[in-house]
Amino acid sequence: MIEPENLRSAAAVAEPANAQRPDDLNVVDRPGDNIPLTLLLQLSVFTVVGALLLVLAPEGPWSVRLLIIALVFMTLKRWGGVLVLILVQGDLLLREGREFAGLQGVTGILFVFVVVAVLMFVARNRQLLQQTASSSLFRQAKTLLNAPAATGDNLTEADSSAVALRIFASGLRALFILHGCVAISAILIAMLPDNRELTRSLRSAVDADPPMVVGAAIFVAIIAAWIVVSEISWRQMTPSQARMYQRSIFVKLHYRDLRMVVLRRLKLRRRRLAATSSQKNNDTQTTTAGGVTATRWNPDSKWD
Amino acid sequence: MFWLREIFGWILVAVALVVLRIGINLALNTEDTKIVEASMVLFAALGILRGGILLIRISTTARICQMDRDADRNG
Repeated sequence: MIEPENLRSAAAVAEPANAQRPDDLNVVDRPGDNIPLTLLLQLSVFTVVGALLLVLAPEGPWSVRLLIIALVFMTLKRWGGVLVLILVQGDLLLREGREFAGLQGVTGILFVFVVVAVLMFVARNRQLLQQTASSSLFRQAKTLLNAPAATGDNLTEADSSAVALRIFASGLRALFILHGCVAISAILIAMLPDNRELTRSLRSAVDADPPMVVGAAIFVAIIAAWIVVSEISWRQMTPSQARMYQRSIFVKLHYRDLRMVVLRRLKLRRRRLAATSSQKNNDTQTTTAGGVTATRWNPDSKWD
Repeated sequence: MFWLREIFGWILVAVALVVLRIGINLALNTEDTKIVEASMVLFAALGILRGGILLIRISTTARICQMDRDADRNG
């Protein structure tokens, strides 16, 4: 059941901004659309990303850092948070984690908060970032300057309170998610072994007893030989066998999607069949009550 | 194009064998035997091995299908 408010807001979204509206329609604008809050949010995120990248790799020359920032901003439209995450991870790896003083104490917690918040925003608002990247800076500035005058007329008191409530609720939700992500990251980081500990355990894993090492090497070599032989025999298959294998792999990989599609179609067919049979029963009862015993043919009873 | 996938599949197989050896060494170390860690490492190695073999097989069969289609087109 679609409510009238939703219909009006959907119409407000679907209608272009410069289109003329008839007076009798009384279309209510979505209050959040005219507020340049999203634009401010985007600009602040870009600023935070820039500052974050300036903080990263302080030993590197300025030219390299500026180049990295430009690279991130240029590819933010396409790659989203992945590139930022890779850069942050690479920087943390180069600093060897715990030896970096900036990651300890309150500054470290703030750093993690900012990184996680930026990543969450970039992952959540891909469409907004793409719009920002595709539109010109001049147009955005114009929107930002002109927007407050336009919004003042349309916003009623109820609308503004609803917007404030929605912003508060979404902010609270984001804050909870952010805290949860940071807490889980902190737990995972605390569980990770130290560098020296990791090196020692890896060395002990490699330096086993000599007879055991030989046994392990032989076992791995046997598996490798088995794989090579099976792959050589695999290449002897005929084209029809290859096609069959491709089809079976396709079905296996897309099994869940195909199952969903088939189940939905079956459900639709069952519903149509039930509706048709009930209609048929009603028609039969009507004709019998009128004294006519002949069964009428119902063209709607056919289903594909 | 299928060659790239096959090469990547072979790389995955090689990585899986290395990880497999590390896992076996973890289990076979007489001074400090780590069975639980070894099982986790072996599980990961088998997953990588399976992915690599799947990639190799898919690329091989796709190449066979493509060759057959090209042969049909040519004559």
